[in-house]
Amino acid sequence: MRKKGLRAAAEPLLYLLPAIIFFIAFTYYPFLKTAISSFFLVDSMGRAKEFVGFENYLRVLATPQFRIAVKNTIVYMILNAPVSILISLILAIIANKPTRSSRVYETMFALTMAISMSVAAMIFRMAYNPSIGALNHILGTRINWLNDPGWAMIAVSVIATWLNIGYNFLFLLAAVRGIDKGLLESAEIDGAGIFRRTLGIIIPMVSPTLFFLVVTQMAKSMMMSSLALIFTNSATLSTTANIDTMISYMYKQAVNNLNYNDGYATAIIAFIMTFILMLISFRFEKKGVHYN
Amino acid sequence: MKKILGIAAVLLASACAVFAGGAGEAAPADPNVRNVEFWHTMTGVNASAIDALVDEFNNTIGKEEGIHVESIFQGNDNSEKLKTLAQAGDMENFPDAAQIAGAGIPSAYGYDSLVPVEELKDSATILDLDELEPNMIRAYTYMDQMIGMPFSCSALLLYYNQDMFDEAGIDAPPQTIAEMADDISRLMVKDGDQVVRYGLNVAVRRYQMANFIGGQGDYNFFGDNEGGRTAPMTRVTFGDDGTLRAFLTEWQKVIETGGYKPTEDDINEEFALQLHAMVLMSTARIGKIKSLVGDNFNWSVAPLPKVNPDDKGGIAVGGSCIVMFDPQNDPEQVDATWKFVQYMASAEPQFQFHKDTGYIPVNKGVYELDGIDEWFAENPEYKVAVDAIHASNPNVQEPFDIINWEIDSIIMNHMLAFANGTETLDQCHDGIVNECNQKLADYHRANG
Amino acid sequence: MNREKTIKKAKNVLYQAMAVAIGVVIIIPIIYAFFISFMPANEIMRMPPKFLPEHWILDNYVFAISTTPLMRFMLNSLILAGVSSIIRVITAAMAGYAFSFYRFPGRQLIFYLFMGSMMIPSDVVLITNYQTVARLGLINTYLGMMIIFLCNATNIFLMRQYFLSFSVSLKEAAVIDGASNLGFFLKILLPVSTPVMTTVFISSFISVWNTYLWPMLVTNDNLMRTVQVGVTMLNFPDGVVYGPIMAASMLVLLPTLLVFLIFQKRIVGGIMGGSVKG
Repeated sequence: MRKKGLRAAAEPLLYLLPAIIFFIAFTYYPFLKTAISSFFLVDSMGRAKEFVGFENYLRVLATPQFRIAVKNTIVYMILNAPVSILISLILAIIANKPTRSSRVYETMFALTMAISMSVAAMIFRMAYNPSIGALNHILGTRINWLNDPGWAMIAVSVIATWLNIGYNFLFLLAAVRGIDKGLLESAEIDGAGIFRRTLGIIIPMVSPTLFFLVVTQMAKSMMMSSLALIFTNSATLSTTANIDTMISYMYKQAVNNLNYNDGYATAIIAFIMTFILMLISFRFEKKGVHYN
Repeated sequence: MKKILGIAAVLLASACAVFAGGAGEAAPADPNVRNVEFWHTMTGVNASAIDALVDEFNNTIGKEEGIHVESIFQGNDNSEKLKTLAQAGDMENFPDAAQIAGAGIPSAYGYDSLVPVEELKDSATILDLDELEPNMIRAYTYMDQMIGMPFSCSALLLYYNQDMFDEAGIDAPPQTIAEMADDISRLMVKDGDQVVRYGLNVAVRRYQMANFIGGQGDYNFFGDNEGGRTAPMTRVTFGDDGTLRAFLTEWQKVIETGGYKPTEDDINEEFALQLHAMVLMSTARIGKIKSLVGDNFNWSVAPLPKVNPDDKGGIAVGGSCIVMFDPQNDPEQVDATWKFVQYMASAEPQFQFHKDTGYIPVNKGVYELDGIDEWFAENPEYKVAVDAIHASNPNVQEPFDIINWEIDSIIMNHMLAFANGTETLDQCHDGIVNECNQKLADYHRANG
Repeated sequence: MNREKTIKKAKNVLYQAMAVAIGVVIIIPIIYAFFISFMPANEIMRMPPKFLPEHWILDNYVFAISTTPLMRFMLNSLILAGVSSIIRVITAAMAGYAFSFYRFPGRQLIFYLFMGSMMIPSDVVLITNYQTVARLGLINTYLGMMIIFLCNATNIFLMRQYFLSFSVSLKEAAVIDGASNLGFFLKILLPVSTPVMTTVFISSFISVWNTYLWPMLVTNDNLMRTVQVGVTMLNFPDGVVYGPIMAASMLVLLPTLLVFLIFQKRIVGGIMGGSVKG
């Protein structure tokens, strides 16, 4: 009897084993090393020299560039988590009804996810050029999108918003299509308009997927570095505006400047901030997400 | 489900096929042939040019000596990859030779398996090291040792629209920043409050600053220890010796014209579309501008304007060198690598590489080769660049400032704020000096 | 009656036209890139900007294919993205199953730790992971290139979300019918989960397809390069080479598009109605 109990307890762990081994080896082991190093003075070869407590943390938190990076990260997150998901939800509702041409527009809606970030950056950069770009030409403006401190972060974030539309759409389409057709039809017969149907039926029914997307996009946004690095670290695409995010700031400190002291501390601060954000989201899961 | 499994099977099968076939392909089967691994950072036409040189070596000297060089693209920053390998203690996967930028020299100096050119200088068989340009030897010299072999070279030039100059009645390109400011006022075109044609476009960053600081007087250093060349740089000196203030004072004249654009967007294309009368860019862009402009208008290049009229320093050369490693502790392997590295800096390959890419030759022997006069007659812009480098003092160099990224962003941010009027000359000056020194002090505290 | 039908039909056509129009708006940047890939260099940036090439040329494609072994790179990426995505689906389904159908001590903690991995930037763990892979002797191997992509918290989270919409009673019923836990997982749960597994596969395929840094870091061989490295190999350090890069990007887009088209039907067709759900 006891043997059986043991087996029953071990069984779920067996399913988790590959993932556990993976996360220990490639995520938490290196992360733990980083976390420990963040309390030390570290030289340019990454060797810890002397214990300095929270000194690295305090210095990073007092750096104006880091504070700008936090602000930039939040702008980026807002344009990515809610805005991009909302656009995708509307697209998924449009694509919900299978028609003759649905394969065509479904593919179009999802296509942005297949573009790599560096290529998207290049395409948008052409459009953003202040004097010969398409955007100012169409709008009749003369804004230097990527170099104006007021616009640069928004202009960069929009690229990611666009890229994420396809990804979010893919998941939301599957979710919307999964809703019981009878439920929607009876609501339609009852005279419910598209808004009431969306709010009353669709959103609750797809809430597990929405929750998934909000949480993962939030985490991804908080961890974003690639776009910021494309626009600040390459000789040819570079902008002079400060569009660093927390992680691109970390990257520059650790990798470019060999300053692991500020770099590691920044990584840990970003981790803690994101983790808190995630815990708040999971609080919400119990209230707002309907699994059945 | 079945379909997915089917596709999985196909993928695994093709993976196995590549595993089986892929590994042996690159290495020569002949056991008498020595394989030399060379990492480069070049892309596009430049990559084709470097591959052509490697092929040429393999088919000539390589064939005679039993050496086969494999050229491998490793992303555009080899220093970063070498750093990762070194930190992970993975010496085994170090290449035999790697192309790196000058800024990577101090960290390369710290790797155990580095073989400085200095150690092999006397055993040169293919290359006469006296033929190398002194500026370029100095560029890759650190702690009195020649670390890397100069390979590609570029420098900062003034590009100007000849038609616009003629139209404005300017007969010669500006010699100083003050003259340049005058020309900007005459060249810029305004439509109401909007500038529709800028007199000058350039973002002043670390690279530009190194030129403006270095060129003052006979020559001038960016920081202590000869700009970080005789020992690691611990502080910037351009604040103490007044060279930064001298530059900013002149540069203010440029800003005050209102016809200066301090941010760079698509500078090549914008110059080609006649949106700017002058731009400051690297010599490496001559070919690109030629192809973009075509026959649309006349343009030319001139030496970088000086800060003070009597400055003699000239410009700092940038570019890349090839460093050698001895990962296997094998003198014969080093010897094979050394032959290849000498070849890459020799006159004929350098001339070929110059013609293919527009990088300035590192070997003076090029100017005695057949065909050079015809080449310069067809491409006078390159002659201007070569003459400007020859007229420069070898002590004018990009600094080995270790935290070059940090220095770059400090200078960029303050120069932009200065240009936009959000910082005064004094604020810009003190901001650059204090922040650079603070960051250098932080670095040395962790690495002292 | 007839008129009503016609109106309904017209409405339907209009609806589809609107949907396609929205689709076009969304992919305008891609269409723009497509046209640029056929433009000569001096047409790409013009005053005023133009959308269509004046002279259609194929030079950019020729340059892209002739300067880099792009086809070989595509094969590498296909193997890398394909194999690691299949393994990801398997690891994610297993972990998702444990989180949604079992109650065991430490379940929440393990789940949050898995989720926490999303908040650890890959740059922070890069050097240590390189060290691990080098010690395992995996430098210059496909396994080394794909090892850090074999498991992903986002995918596990998605599988959990999906499985949670089945009630535990479904499993209990199956067990009463004589199915083992593993049998339920393999024979009942997975077959009805093809849509979600497909989305995991597609999204993971595309994200691995687009990675750049890691595959390059752990290989020292031109023949082991991936497509994204191939695209950057076309660039020019002193100015963007838009034409060839856009041409290469269009070619690189094809396999991902194909993967999407092949699997698209499974996302849409395989969804079950309310009957299976609790």
